[in-house]
Amino acid sequence: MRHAVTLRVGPVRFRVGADWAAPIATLRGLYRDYPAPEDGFADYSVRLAAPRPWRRWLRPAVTIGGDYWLADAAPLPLAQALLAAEMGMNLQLALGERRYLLLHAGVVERDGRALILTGESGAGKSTLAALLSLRGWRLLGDEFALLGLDDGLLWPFPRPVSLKNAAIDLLAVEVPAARWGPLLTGTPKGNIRHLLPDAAALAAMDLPARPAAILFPRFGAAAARRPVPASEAFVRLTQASTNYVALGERGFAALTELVQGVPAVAIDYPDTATAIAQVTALAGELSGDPLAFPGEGRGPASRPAPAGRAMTKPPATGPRPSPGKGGGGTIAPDARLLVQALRDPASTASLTAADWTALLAIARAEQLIGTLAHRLHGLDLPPRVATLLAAARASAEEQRRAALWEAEMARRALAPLGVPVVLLKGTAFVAAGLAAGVGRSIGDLDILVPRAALDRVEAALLGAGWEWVKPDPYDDAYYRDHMHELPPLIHQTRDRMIDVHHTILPLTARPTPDAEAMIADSLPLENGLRVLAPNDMICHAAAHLLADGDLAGGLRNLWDIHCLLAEFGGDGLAERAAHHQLSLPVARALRLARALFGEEPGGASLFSARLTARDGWGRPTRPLLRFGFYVRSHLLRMPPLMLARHLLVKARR
Amino acid sequence: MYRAAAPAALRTVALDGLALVYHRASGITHLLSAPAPEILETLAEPMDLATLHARLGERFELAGGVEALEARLAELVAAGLVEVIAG
Repeated sequence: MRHAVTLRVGPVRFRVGADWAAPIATLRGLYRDYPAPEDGFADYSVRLAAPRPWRRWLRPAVTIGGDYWLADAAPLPLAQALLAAEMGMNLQLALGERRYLLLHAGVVERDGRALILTGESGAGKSTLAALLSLRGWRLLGDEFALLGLDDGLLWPFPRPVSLKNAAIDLLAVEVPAARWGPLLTGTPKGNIRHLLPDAAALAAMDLPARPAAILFPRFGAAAARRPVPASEAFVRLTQASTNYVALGERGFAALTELVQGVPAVAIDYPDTATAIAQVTALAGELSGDPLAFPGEGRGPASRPAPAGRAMTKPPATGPRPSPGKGGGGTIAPDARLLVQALRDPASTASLTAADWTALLAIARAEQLIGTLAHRLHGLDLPPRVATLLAAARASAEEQRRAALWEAEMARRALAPLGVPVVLLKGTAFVAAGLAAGVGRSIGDLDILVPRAALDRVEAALLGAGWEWVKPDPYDDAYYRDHMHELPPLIHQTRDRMIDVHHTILPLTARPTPDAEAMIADSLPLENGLRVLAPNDMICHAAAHLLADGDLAGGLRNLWDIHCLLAEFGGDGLAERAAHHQLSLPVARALRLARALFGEEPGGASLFSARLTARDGWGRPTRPLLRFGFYVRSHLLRMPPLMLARHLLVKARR
Repeated sequence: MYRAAAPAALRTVALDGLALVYHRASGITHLLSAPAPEILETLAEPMDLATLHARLGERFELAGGVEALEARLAELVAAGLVEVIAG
């Protein structure tokens, strides 16, 4: 991006890029007292971009993008770009972080004892944390508590404290002007102003602290205090966590240890002076009462914060400079960076810190971060890259488990029908233990069932807790008349989608694969579910990549094809493809897989240019080429007149 | 016939008289009160509703009749902790 800065907050490095100079200058100003990042490596990228090219200048507005983003976030006016940047950084952690259990909470520490202040929005977490930081407590953060999964320690994340409305005036009388960021007015949350953590908090931002108590403050009620049972604290903290579910058993272990190890207290307060008095009194009791620290190995209460582990040391082997590329960055990277790393993992030895940042951004955008993490496992990687990729492997493992469980629940719901249920795509790869499934990101559950059984399958799923995602008459009729699958269903409690296919291409598409033969030749798994025979798996992947969609997310599909070919060899593939009327897409998929991932990568084509159309910030590039493939995908799927009607209906929404 | 998830598939922590159960196969955390943990324990070996009711009755005070037990079982089936199997 045109303007960029890398920021370091505790254990996390952010790269923030913007279409404008001003937001980056503001960020540099606000973070001027923070320790500088060691190099150009960043864990996460945040992008502040105009929603349309002209909105850079005309009523300029900022959309929040990055490695992780929310599809429905409304743009903010450029004057609030700082807020957008802060929200963008929060979003990366909330959606992407897997090294720590994240709690939406403020954290302060004194004499080695850290208090977690959590509660609903408006409970006064930020205000209390800021006030306590002015009264002898060290601020570890006002937004997120980072609980170490292995050490049970709270790691500082001392971002500027985001204060709102009355809290700004409350603290203005105590804090010198130099520690304030600009006043942002008229934001969705009213006025916002950022308060810089003091020098002590920044100096100690690599030093974790041991949790001593969990506080649930609540503003606006008469002063009161009640102990919170561990079970209630557990449930409330899972609700306050953005990644508890994604962490799986490690999250469960860390959180149960926390609620069993430290007391939890609810504090109601009518005004901040009362709250400060309550917290101070509580802290006094904690320090005087060794019984407040049950659990083994916790040591005396007055023990100082343990020294930071490797984090306090400068990285001995940080990302290495590239020997042959003149500082890197001279050639604008595209997704070939990712292709090269997947094809030849050892080639990453020459990547610079900035190259690694770009590689991670691209891999996340292509949903190949878990695959990449497995490919590079065992190599001598820069330590921070290695940590991030280890977390990506753990995350992929959780996705594998969740996908297999969803398949199991579908199996239980459909077992009484006695019809064959064939798993497709990612779930099939992990269920069959194939190389294509290693580290793969898996979203929906895709299954293939005989068309004649469709009504019974639908009824059984609806009876077992699945429901329609969007009950809309046009969509419903469209799916049933023209598509190769039922309209998507979602499970009420598990919130996971299932796509029930009766063939592998839309009925409007020209090739008509033989779905009956695919089901007849499918192979049983131990639990009674089935997967496609190898050549049918490749045919399906090729059809999915080239005869259906617009190649969006195509690198992941092509990697699947590459792995399937490597594992199965492809004997008899041409005949099978011909039988399914898929000779052309299969031949093209094989060529592309060889050209991008083969031993001797081949020349460029429009298809490979489309597949690698992404820049070093993970942004889509080559818009004309993308649009061409978008139109192509629709032409492939429907006759022109029907397409016109379809686009008209969609446009009127 | 009913069958519970194998004990090895569950990680259980007792909190305030409740059972906090992490189910390894699903990754879902359940907070269970009596008699759900006892049902899971007894159903380590598959059995039908009547047998389960009799077994539980030998060891615990059961409130409600077979119908109440069936309702608890249905919740555990929906949660994926108990499976209905043929036989």
